[in-house]
Amino acid sequence: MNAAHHAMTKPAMGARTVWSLFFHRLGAHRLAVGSAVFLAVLGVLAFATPAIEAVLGVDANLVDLSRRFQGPSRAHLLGTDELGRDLLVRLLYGGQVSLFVGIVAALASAVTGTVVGLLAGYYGGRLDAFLMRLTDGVIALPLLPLLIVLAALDLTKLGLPESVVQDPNISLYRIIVIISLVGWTTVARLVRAAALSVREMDYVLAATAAGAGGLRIMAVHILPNVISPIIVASTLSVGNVILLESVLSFLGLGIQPPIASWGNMLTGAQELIWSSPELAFYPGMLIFVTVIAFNFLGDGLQDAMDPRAIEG
Amino acid sequence: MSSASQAPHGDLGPVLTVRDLEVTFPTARGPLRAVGGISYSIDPGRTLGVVGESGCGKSVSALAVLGLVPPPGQVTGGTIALGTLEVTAMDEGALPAIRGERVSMIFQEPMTALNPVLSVGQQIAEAWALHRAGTAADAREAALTMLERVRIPNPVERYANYPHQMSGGMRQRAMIAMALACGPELLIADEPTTALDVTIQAQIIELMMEMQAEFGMAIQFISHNLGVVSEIADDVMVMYAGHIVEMASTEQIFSNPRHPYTKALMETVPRLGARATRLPTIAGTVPDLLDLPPGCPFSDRCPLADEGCRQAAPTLDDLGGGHLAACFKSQEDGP
Repeated sequence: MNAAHHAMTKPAMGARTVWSLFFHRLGAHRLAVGSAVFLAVLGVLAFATPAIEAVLGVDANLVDLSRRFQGPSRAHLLGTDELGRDLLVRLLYGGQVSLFVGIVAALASAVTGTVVGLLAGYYGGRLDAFLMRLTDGVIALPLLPLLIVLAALDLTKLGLPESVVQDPNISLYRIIVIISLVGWTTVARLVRAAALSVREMDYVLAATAAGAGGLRIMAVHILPNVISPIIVASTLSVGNVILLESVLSFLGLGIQPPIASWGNMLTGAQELIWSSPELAFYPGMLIFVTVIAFNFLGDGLQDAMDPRAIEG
Repeated sequence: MSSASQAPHGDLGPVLTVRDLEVTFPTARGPLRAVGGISYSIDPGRTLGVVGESGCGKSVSALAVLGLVPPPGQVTGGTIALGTLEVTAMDEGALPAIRGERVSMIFQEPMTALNPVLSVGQQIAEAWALHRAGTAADAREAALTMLERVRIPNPVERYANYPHQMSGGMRQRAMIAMALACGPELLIADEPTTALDVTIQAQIIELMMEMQAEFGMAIQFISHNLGVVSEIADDVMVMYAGHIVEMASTEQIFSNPRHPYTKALMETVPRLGARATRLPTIAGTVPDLLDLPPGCPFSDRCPLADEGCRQAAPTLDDLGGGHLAACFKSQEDGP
């Protein structure tokens, strides 16, 4: 075996052991695996909805008052709603919205929270005190009234151009921004706590002694060591964001019809809860199962990424 | 950028000049002087061994050279100069430019001094890239060269290893490679062999001496192990309670220790072939730095101390032949 061959195989094996350990531990977490599979299937179906519409020959937004409240049939697998729209594709579109909002808002919150947490944890002192009081302040805000106020803001008054305000997806973007503005606090606190312990490590001192500046220390030496709490917290927060989005949409402040979201489907269904309970049951159940799946997945990731297990 | 390290050190005077350095930590009970006004210098290519018990200020004074005194401690007096560049007068923001470039440091425990989530090669490449312009491939090349120079077999394979995949001795070699990546004039080694077993310790000492011959850097070698210091150091400085108590060439200090503390330290080292008896210890404990005796800091534990020692502190004086000691008794004796 020549040296070059050695060079090719050994590092790959080292990298594989870390990942195989991770997947092995995640695999042992049945609920997490089941949740991941469920979310993957939901994700694929939700983002393939236009294709499914074409195959089934239905249109999610086509109102047909002659076909209201139909039961399941070949044409409409889950039946139709109060406006004669196909329930299945509307649920899938709702899933698309919920997953998109959940994941994008959770990512945006994670980025903000990570930056705030790293700055506070690494620099400490006054900056830390200021950022953490800011975090406390955001946590202490009464969330729902604030979200309602923000959702009711007239965007033209903020100086946004007309073309942006008229965008049919504006309610989607608005809700992502609103949730990101208040959702970063958990990650910020976790990252700060982790950064506080990591910055005392000798390797941070060693990197500083080698001439690395603050930004580099934070990005290269601290961030990779605090990434697992970030991933776990963000996964868990996707579930929370989906719930929050549902609540806002249910209150009529989130995603605006005719775009379907699980929250606004519930709104439409509430008056018909006695006559057509399935209209409330399906979106409600999907919210419940999706949120729980994200929580199980988060728990599984937490166990699988336990740093003591990886380093040992 | 690189001209400073490539210029011949010879005609520039000492690589490191420390004058009356004082480092103070504010505490609830008042300011604690961890380093109480020490002066020394290291000439190019020389090795200064710094010996003393835990808490004598040897590590803190070394960190001060890099501007890395752990907060809330700070340099409260004196000057530190690298060549003609006064570190103590420099702006905080300018310090990263000299760290790793003109002075580097290696640490006691290479397991914790290397980042567990980055490969060893990446960390050496980073140390190089911090001060040298070049592509990622150049940095990798430089790191591979350094791995080879610190005698790590299969550098290409080892480049991708994470610290936990290496042995302790190998990690310390990697640490040395990282510290020397930019060819600094001064290497500060803070107990680099303490965490290693004896055979590996000897290999690391040998490697450091080989590196010194190759790179020509000066070394400030901190240790509480007199045996190790006697092997590597040209000069030795003994510290006690934040002060230098004795400083001389290694030869002088080991053949003829003048300060009672140095003598006591040497008696605590077991000797091969000596009859197995209880090892002598130094009576008493290190004095509380917040409550130093008014006279000589060692007077409470010194077998020779008298009233005079307890009232006034001796200064570090030349006893002849460049042998410095801060002790009234040895100064009375003459050389």
